[in-house]
Amino acid sequence: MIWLTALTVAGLAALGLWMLLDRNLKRVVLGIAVLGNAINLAVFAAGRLGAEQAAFTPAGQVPLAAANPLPQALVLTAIVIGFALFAFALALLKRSRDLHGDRETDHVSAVTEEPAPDLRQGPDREGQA
Amino acid sequence: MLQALLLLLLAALLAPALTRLLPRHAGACLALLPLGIFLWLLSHMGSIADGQVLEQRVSWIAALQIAVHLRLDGLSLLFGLLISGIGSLIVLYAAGYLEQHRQLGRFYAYLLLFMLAMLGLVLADDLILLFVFWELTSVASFLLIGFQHDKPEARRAALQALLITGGGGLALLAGLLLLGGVAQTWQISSLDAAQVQGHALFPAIMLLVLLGCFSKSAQLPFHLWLPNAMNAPTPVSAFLHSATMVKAGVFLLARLNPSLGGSLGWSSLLIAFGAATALLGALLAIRQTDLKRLLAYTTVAVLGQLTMLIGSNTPYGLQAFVLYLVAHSLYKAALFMAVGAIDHATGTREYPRLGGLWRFMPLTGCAVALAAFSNAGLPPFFGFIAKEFKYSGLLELGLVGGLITTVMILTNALLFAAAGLVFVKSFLGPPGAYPRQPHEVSLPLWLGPLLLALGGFLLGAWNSWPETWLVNTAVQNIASGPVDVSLYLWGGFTPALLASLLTISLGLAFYLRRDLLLKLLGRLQWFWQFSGDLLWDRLLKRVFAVAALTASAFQHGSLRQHLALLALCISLLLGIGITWLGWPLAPFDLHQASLPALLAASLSLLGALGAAWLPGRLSLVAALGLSGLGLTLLFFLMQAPDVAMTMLMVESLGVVLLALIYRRMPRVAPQGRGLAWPRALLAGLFGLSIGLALLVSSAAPLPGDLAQWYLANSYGQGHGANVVNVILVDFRAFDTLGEIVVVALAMLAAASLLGRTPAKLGTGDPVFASSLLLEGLKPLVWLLLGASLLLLWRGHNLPGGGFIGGLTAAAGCVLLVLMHGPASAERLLRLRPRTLMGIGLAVALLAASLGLLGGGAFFQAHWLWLGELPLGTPLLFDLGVYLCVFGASLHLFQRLTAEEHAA
Amino acid sequence: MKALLLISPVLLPLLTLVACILLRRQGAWVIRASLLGSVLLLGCAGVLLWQAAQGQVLSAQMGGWQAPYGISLVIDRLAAALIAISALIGLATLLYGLTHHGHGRLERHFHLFVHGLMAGICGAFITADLFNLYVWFEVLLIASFALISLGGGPRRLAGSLTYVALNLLATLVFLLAAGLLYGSAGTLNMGELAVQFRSGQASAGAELAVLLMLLAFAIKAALFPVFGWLPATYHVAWTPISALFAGLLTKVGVYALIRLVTLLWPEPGALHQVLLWLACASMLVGVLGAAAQTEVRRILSFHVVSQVGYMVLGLALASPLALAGAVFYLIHHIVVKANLFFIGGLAALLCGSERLAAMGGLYARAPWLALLFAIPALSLAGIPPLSGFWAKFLLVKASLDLAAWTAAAVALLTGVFTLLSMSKIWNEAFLKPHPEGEAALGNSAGLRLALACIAVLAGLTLLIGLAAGPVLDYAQASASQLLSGEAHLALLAPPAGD
Repeated sequence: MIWLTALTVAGLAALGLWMLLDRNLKRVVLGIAVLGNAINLAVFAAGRLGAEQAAFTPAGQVPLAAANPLPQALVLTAIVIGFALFAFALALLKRSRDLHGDRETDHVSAVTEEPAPDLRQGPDREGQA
Repeated sequence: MLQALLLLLLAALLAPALTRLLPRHAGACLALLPLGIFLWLLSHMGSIADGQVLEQRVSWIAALQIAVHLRLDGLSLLFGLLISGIGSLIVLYAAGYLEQHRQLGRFYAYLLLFMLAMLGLVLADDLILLFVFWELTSVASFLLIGFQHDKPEARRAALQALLITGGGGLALLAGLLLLGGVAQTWQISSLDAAQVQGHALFPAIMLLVLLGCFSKSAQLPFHLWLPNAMNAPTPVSAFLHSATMVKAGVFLLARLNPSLGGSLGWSSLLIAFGAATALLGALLAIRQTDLKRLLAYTTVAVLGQLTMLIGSNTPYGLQAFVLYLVAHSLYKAALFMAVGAIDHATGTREYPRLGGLWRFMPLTGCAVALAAFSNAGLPPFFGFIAKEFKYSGLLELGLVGGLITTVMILTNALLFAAAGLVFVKSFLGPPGAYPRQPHEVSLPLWLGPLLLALGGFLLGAWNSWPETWLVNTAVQNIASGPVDVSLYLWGGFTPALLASLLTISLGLAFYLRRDLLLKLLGRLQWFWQFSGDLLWDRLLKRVFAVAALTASAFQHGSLRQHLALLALCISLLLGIGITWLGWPLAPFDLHQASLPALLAASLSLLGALGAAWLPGRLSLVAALGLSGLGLTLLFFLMQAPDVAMTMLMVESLGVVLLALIYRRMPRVAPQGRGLAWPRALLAGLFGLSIGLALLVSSAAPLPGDLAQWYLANSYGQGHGANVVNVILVDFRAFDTLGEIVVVALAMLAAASLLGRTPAKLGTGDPVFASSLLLEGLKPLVWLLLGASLLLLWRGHNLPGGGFIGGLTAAAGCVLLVLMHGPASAERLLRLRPRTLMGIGLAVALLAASLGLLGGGAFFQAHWLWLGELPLGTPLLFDLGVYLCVFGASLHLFQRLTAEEHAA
Repeated sequence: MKALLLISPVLLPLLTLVACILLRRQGAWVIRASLLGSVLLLGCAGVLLWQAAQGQVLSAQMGGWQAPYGISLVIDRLAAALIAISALIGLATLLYGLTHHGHGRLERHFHLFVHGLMAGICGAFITADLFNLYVWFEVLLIASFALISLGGGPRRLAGSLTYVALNLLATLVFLLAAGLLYGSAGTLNMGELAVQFRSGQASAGAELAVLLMLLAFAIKAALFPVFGWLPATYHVAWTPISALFAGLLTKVGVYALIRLVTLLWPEPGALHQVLLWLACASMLVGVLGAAAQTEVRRILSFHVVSQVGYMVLGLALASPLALAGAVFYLIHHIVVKANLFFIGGLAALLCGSERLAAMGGLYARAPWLALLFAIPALSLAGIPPLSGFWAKFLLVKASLDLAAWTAAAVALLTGVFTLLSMSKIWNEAFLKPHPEGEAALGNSAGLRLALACIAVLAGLTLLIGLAAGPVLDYAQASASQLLSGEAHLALLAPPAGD
């Protein structure tokens, strides 16, 4: 199973990075999700696979070959965190589309290297935008 | 001594206020302090001359054995007298010179700060303390050179001086650190010459220390900052850049001469650089027409000679060093102040425009005359004795000495001519074309130069006095062994006298035929190209070019390049790491993979491929959903129902979110044709390295007993059969706390980015306005809400829990919001989602803090038994998780739909 | 009480956060609650620092579950010092923000997210569990995402996008590393991991995972060559926020690097060699990059990179003195760098721009600001007797003691360039007359509180410099504590109460 998982992880990670490097911001954001999935799977798989029973101990009975519960808890945490970050990234994408239109990734990020605007019209003009 | 330093600090701090209070008399008041110090030092002259030293020690940084260790001996007394004596005159002079200046208070402050630093520098008996003051003098000099801050050249000169002396200072720091390390002490007076010079690091120490001293004392490659520093107001030039600060370098050379000096390397370096600097300085001086710059270059020449004299290390040489130092400080400060007065009175410092000033400014003229005679080295002035001893000292060196003496005769003849320009050309002869009618300057402006110049005369004429009281002990402090000191004006017909006569006649010739001389010198075009500021500018330009290149390599503003670099680093690290470890991969088991797992994996990969490749928006969203579904299946197959359920909920909410946001955006253009293979290669490498890393980490059986422990103790101690959930809400609940904080913050942040004020959140139209749908889906909402509570409740024992429950509830309410508009969920819950989220967090924190009751740990579980049913704080915590996740997700969706309405 | 005190650096910001969320409507109350929370945090941090200075190590098991099954928290000297400094900078940022600005909504969000950030930062400092560290990193990360994008604007949003994308990639690397580490070492507890590594029984996979984790930390710390995100983004945020980030965020990465490397490899080895070169490269590239900049915050941002190099240099040299230097540098740098951003912001406000070419005239107009700039600026450049001098002194001395000549030379050379940059700001923004005449300069009347914050931090810089002895003693004690690993190794012993 580990090789299958590793291959899936590798494939998802490669595709995720490919998407992160896209010219279109919409796909970049999706890339974050795909890469996140790849990493989650890897974290899960690192706790070893091949369990035959889920990690439940009804009445204290530990089943044989039960799944390792710890990576499950970690991945669960990671998935929820990933979702939260993904939601934020989407909001950022939406905002960026409002302000920058459909410019390419690099054209948007290049805006940061423009000279700083004057603060003449009030204490912090950017804050009001 | 410490008190003197502290008083100076206090005075510096109070100077601006004092100047505001007493604009007219502040200078005189402040001048009293250095005068007091001068007198105090004078009072100790007797005991110091008897060979005593005054020491004071306050511990500072015990861990490094660094102490505020002050020591007054002959050398420091000599310098201290110069600093405080000239200093008090300078403060007085500044009061007259800068009378109308707006920032006079600040000027006093800087000047006193500098005095503090300089006095500290000469008194310090601790290498590090000395360095502290050393750098402070550079800073004070920076502030003073840039004092006329609206002039660009002043700013440039200040920066140049700071960089050169500061840079040299850092080399010095390295040298002193090495020296302290080798000598096992920071105390200068207990440095052991044999121990230091015998060490393998001695050459490095020597070079670094010399680098520092040379930069400070404007020796050859570093000399260029000094003339530019003349942009400072004249009192500064007189004080810092002729009499004191520039002498800090030679002071340190003298100070360290007993421990570092004596070797051939030390002597040859000092003599070579000193002689070259002296000659160059003199040559450059004679080419100047601005009196201040002319004096600056003569200072360079003198500093070179002083350096050389220390290097000679002969009894005469060291005596000459001390004599020349005193003589030069006196006459040069006087000359600078006088030139400042001339500038003040006539409005120019260009000597071709001056002449016949004696008529208008007799007192200043007197001072200049006395100082210039001393400068020219005429008897009976102190400068003459200094020169005699200098030649005697050099001639002691034998053949090399002869050569150097020739160079020095040339140098001093040039200096003689320069002195002539300052006095004869300016004060005698026909009146010049002044920009304004000259007049004698006020008392503070002529008093200082006159006193100093008179000092040079008196010390020379009655030379037994300085011999007994000053020179003797100072020389003993510089030399490594005892030296017999006796000063004389007339020593018979010695070779030194011959050299002196030669100097004077050559000097006269230079002065009289200066036009010819300048013409000859002007022929050396190629040479002057190198010695100016040009090199400095070229160097700075180079540096900035390199800097720009460096910056542009990282400041390209391309997110994709940034990402690619990170990904490359990650792949390389993993690749190199795995290779270094010898490819310890898990055994190949692809053939054992089950068909459902294979299918689920392919599904997720295909979905991701679609998301990476497809152009449409909807197809993108669908592909991503498919990929998530595949993973969900995979998690189910791997016996992780909780993970799979969470994944499912997250994926569905994510897809809804995506759909909502992408709805208003144009379609994604198909992949461009551009050069894709480097990107593909990088992506492939990245994926491969991560896959391999997973295989490496799974190579050996899982060490440790964490899994077994959790399985064994979940039911007994955590009172739950769902081990994953017990870990989440009890064993590792601290993680979960952080996680719900992330969720809350992320949703708040996302909502704040979408930026609608809640007040505008109206009842607006639903997104899906179909009445059939509205009615049909209503029961589903209730079903989901009910199910979410069930999932929460049973989570401790069966698949479910706060996360899954919260996400399910959120999904239900999202449907509601989509159907009935953003306000609908709020009406249903009677609470704003944000408040719900806050309550959830509060409940979670409460549950965790309850553990602290009774002296337990944070998150310590407390259980109540209702018959067979355990109720405990972990369940309360899970409720908090539920509420927080629910509220947070709903908050975002509500904001998003409100945004849709506004759009 | 001890348990409460231990958890207070996380609990207090979280409680304040909850209060800010619930008090959303009442703007004034949000600010009051927020300031109260910050002051309380500072108080607790003070007590923690005092206890740590006595040599006391606070540690606890969350939920009472013994290590390595439960999550351990440890506050040793290093953590206590960093918590105290962070609490101080947090409070200063909030106060500075109050005067710097007048918008209601922005301000409330600012307070809210700053407390989120503080919770994340403090959580990262006290945890002794690597996955838990990941979680707190995420908390501070998402809070920083929110903060950097606060206020919108096209430029700021573009910067946020870069920041978010690059940091997300870094954080995923951290997650992967934590997962792989569990898979190959079987534990996430730093103490147990230290036992494995120090006894030389760490598996190949564990070493690989730790290396990967160090890379993630290096990205957070903005170490060469993975620092690109920092100078690309810090200058777009609102001034108080960029000050907070510059002061604290990268330092969390540095902290994590120091923590993990000293715990796992107390003896210098190949890794230290690599770190040494990276540190030197960071120092040089940082100052060179800064020399090419023409805006105040960009200059300062690049300097963050170079100074991270100094700290990592101390870590790489691995002698007790060098490590003490790194700790000293860390403490000094947080105060100085945040303060310089504060001052830069105020200067920009008065001049109407942060482009050096469009600035000037402050030396005549705002002499107090000039003085307050001079202190941290000279300290940053390592001019004695200010705090930065001692930090550099220790590192250079340690390099020379270990015959690391290149490192010493680079560290000193970097000092020259830092001096160049600082005097460039001084010359352009302060000495030079304002290009549009003096009338163009703004009024500093409403900025008293901001000036007071700056003055307090500058005073602290002076104090650290003049009374370097106690700070140095503390730094040396924490260095030896780090190298011995006692605080974390003690976690594995059964609790004394049983």
